[in-house]
Amino acid sequence: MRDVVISGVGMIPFGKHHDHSYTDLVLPALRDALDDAEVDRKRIQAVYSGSSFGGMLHAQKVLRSTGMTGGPIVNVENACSSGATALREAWHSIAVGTYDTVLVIGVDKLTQFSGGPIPLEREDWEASNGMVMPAVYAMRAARYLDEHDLDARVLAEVAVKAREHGSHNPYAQMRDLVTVDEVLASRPVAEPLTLLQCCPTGDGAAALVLQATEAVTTSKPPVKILASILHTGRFTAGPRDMATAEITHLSAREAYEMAGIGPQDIDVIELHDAFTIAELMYYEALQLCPPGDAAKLLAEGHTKLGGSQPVNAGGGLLARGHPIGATGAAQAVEIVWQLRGQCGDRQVDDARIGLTHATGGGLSGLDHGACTIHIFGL
Amino acid sequence: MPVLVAPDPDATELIASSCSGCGYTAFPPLPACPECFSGPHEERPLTGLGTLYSYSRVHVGKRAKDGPYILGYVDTDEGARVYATIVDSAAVALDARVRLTSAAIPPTFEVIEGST
Repeated sequence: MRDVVISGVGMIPFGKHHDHSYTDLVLPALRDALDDAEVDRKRIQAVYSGSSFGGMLHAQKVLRSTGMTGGPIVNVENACSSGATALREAWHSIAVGTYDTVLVIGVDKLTQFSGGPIPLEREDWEASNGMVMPAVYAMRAARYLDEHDLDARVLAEVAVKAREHGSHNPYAQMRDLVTVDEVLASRPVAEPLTLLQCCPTGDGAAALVLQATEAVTTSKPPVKILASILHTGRFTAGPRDMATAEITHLSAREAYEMAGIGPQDIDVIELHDAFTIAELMYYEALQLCPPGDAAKLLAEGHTKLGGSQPVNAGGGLLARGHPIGATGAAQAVEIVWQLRGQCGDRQVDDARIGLTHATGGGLSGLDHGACTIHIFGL
Repeated sequence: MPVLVAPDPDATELIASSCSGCGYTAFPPLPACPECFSGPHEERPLTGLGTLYSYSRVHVGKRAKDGPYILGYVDTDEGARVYATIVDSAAVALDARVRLTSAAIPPTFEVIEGST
């Protein structure tokens, strides 16, 4: 397999862009990524675009006025991992030698819905009978807190950190600081989760140019993709431990092996904190700490800016926002900026290796629909 | 939209599927067995008794228009995890023993008093 690098990235500030179409969301991010990579649009050999709610042919739709249609365009839907799965497909297409220069897009527009929980798959047994994603995470939280003898304040601490980090990120949707008491006093969504423990409804887009090392023309430091792993949830109709993140654990183990590193070697992490409980469970699944020690890791400052392994320096899903298909691409853009030292007040010192983790999708009987982990290095 | 389980308002028990090859039990019934991929499946009535694995009092979604409601997963004594509505009461707790009170869709369970 050939080495694959990210040579250019772009992203728009996430938020409620009511007056913007999918095309409006993507074009600024796309231009920035091409400019950043110093790649003319005519050199793009294929496009991989992730979106869950963009509709049929969403990528052709957003690209029709760019002169970039005509070649292979792959629309990728994998719920919260859509953008990350597009990144993986793009990486693979270069790694095996099919293409030298490809484009990755992640985009979604959640303000097209009336707010509240995202719509789930109608043919799914649970979703069609009232299940909503906050309830899934709430049930994980209930079990996790009970098994580790913790109270809901540790969940609120995750939201406080996310907002603190997001306050330094001009691309973040939620930039106001919050306190533990404010988080706990916000309205209940699915107990024990309150509103400020849930990622906001918003719109966003991110784009990346991937190239074979020998195709790169920009003099910016290329960020190499050291690992790309995708797993889907394993079905069971019987009991499953909801307090551990099964496919994240498996994906992380394989990603570390592929990159030839261990969890202690990661300098900066963007993980899938769609709800506060998720961040604690993923510390453990990414093997940043032993099972049950996540709250301690957070309290010690290990995962805060200034700590030894900052998690979600860009604010994560809770503060940057979570336009479903955009997230995996946005996480990768943030890590590229971190590794290049372009992050200003949220910069992690001497960041040389970064990890992104996008997982989600509510489907009966599965831990998650999909999970994607990437590791990047200078 | 396909209906996965016939909505029988008079149903008094849950009918699971049991794989004729390996006995794998699932509710709602499965069209294929994830363990041995064989079939056809036999109907297996569930006793309606189980243990509440986890739950949440939910304040959002279409069903919340009439107020918060409790969703949960019940691990039935036959080994199937059933997505259910839980009757709200002070007795609702993790690992509580529960019994079926309605086989409508989704099924409803209540905590058996004194079980926690």
